[in-house]
Amino acid sequence: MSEQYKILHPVKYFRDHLAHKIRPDGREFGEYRPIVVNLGSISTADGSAIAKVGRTTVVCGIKAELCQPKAEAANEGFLIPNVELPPLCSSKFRPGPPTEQAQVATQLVADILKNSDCLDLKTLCIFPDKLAWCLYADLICLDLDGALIDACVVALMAALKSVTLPAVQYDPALDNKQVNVQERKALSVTNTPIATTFAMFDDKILIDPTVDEEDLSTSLVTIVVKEEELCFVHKPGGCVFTEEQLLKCVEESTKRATVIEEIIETAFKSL
Amino acid sequence: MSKVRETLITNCERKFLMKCLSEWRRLDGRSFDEFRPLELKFGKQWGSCYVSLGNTKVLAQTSCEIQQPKSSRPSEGILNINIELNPLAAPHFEAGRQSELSVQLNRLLEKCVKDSKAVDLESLCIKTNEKVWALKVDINVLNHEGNILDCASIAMLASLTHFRRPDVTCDGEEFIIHSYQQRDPIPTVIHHYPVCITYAIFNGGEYILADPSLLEEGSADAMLTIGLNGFKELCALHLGGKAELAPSIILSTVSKATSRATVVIEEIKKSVKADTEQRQEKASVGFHTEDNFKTTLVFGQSLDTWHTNKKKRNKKHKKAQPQSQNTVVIDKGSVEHVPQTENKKEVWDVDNNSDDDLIIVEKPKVQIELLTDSEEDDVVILGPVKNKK
Amino acid sequence: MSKLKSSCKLGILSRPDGSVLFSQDETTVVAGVYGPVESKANKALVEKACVEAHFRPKSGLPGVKDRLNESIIRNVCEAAIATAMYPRTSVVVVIQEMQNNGQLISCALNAACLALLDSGIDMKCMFAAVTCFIHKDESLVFTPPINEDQVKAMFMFVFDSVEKSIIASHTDGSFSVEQYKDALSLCKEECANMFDFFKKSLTIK
Repeated sequence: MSEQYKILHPVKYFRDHLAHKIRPDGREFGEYRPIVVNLGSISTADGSAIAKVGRTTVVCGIKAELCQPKAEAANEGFLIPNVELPPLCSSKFRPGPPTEQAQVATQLVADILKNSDCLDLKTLCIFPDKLAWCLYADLICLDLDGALIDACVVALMAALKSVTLPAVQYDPALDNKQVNVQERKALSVTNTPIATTFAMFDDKILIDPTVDEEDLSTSLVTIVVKEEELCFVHKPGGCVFTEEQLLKCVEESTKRATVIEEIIETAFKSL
Repeated sequence: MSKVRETLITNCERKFLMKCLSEWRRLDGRSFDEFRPLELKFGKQWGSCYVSLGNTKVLAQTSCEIQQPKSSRPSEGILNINIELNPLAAPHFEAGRQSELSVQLNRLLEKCVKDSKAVDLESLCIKTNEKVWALKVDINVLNHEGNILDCASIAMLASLTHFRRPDVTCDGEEFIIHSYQQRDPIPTVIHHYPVCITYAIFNGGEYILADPSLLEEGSADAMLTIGLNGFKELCALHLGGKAELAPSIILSTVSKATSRATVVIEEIKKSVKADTEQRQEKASVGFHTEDNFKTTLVFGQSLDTWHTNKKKRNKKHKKAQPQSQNTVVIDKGSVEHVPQTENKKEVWDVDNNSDDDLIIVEKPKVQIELLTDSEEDDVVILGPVKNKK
Repeated sequence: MSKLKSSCKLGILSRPDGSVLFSQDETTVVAGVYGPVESKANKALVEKACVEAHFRPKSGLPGVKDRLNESIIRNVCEAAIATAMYPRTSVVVVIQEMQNNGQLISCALNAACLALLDSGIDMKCMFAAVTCFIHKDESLVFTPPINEDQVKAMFMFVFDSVEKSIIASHTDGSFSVEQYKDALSLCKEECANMFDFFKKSLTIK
């Protein structure tokens, strides 16, 4: 019966649940879904991880290539994230060029990386103006059930921390490079930004929304925290938030960030 | 409700237009050989130019980057032209998609400037076979009221003339690109200035209208585009449509166009020179400067509304005095918000200035202007306006 | 602290239903609104108008960054337009960059609001965007610093005119919660000036 009710009156179904201070999936308003992190999932990549936030699953593979730095930034390498939302992850998507949502997610992840300064691009440079590493971080969503950015950031950070790069010897006079695959070094990732998404529905704030909740909600906000500092507060429109509500979200996301950071650390210790 | 699809021209409109033409009149009151007023403005960045031809408006921006030259021309730079029919210009224009019209316009502009070798590409070479400058002109059409091509060609040429590229020096194997602050940027060498001039042809050459408006463009049998430079040399000629035109008519139209070309080229040179002089005097230049928020021509402003507006505003100002901020009226529909200043007297000074701006019309000639505002659709005659105080 | 100078000129384009040339400090954009217009079959919504946003850079093709700007502009406009009044139609908001001096998104949003007001489309509220910057020396300013390296963080807030609540927030760089609060209250103060400016521009017209 409740299935039919949900399909016929989605908003009323949702509102009835919230009136009883419970969400359709049985969670409380401030309760987030279980998080799973798996490291080194792809053996052919230079670094990889799978992150699950509830049912939302994102796999991240990082491939390192040697390239020439840009003339404007001769002593920096590259880190290029790309978020893909294939038809596999949701019935909303069709095969073809990247959708707007995928492009926006790619830009948000790139902004988060830049803002948090978690990886100094100068450490990717091998020889100024001649040789540097270019890291391609491909994030593929396998199942989309809300809070995409949260899952992307967890997968990306776990994958970045697991990257090991081979040692490279470069002789600028001869333009000769030698790659020593045996001798591998980890990247120096200085901090771990963690994203938390909130949805607002009828003045109620729901942490870590599912895709149904995201679609019904009137407004979304994503907050990224790193080491007690904020590095991204993104609310792309929708209905209004008061200052208190927003600050409450900031507080909640700080709490959740410490938990997720611990999860990633524990995963590394278990290796 | 307007449509996303292109609005077709009705038979009524076409018949009315033809009737007017048979009486030697045009709907906007111009004579057959008259062009709409041309205005050029430059942005803060080099090579950024905004051109309006009547109500047709176009923004052009020239940019440059270092590239490897084409192997067939190892010692020549590259010039790319790209025209975009912005969805702003007309509701049926689609963003980021090439249409038949945009491809045609692009090709005609290329023909006019690239194929006539107007820009000295060899001077853009840094090192043969390795590094050359690639110039790119992006043209965005902002408002489509007919004759995009003329407007775009003027904007492109003005933008190329205005553009300066950073200086490059060679230090052994390394190339150093100097920023604009370090060394004076270099202007592009332009051999000659070709502009497009378009005529609409009706009844197989019986009526030939210069600078057609949207309606004239849509109902014309054919369009004749003539590319001409300052030396009265023909750079491009394109006759599109379904009119049978005698060669003598084409030739006589070309000779009419030459005088227009000279005027346009002079105007481009004059505006670029004026902008460069302003920059040398370290005056503020760009689209944000106050001049751009004033109208040089008065469109459909009746004297009555001026007075009522003024009264209203005077009241407002009295009320506004204790307010922390200060909003200044520059002209009809143009307002400026000036940051708060400590000195209250100064705030009032600015206010007074703004009143002056309202009264002084920059061209104090007797003007008859057709109203363009949709709300006030009648003709108003304005006499010379004097400062009221 | 120096505040920004804003200027606007309404109705500069003849084709769109509403248009404006708007500049804040040295950043200048042109905005135009077509609406409500006939919707494409695949975009039409049964119960409300579909809001489309286009953001055009002045050179080159729009990239991934412009998509993010477009999504912010669309979402903010959607919040402000009374979309339920125009079912099965589209409202198209187009922004053209003219000159960029660091606060492009907020300038684009303010221009979008003025263009919507100029078009006479029904709106639930006005919105105003304010950008502020934190310098390396921790000072909070409205004018973008000349040298980009000196900026520690950038904040952009969009407020509604009714309750002065936050419609949108976008940040760049990292900062503390305290700094975020400071920036928020500072921008909130400034947004009242923007609304006054909007109202005045419209009464003049």
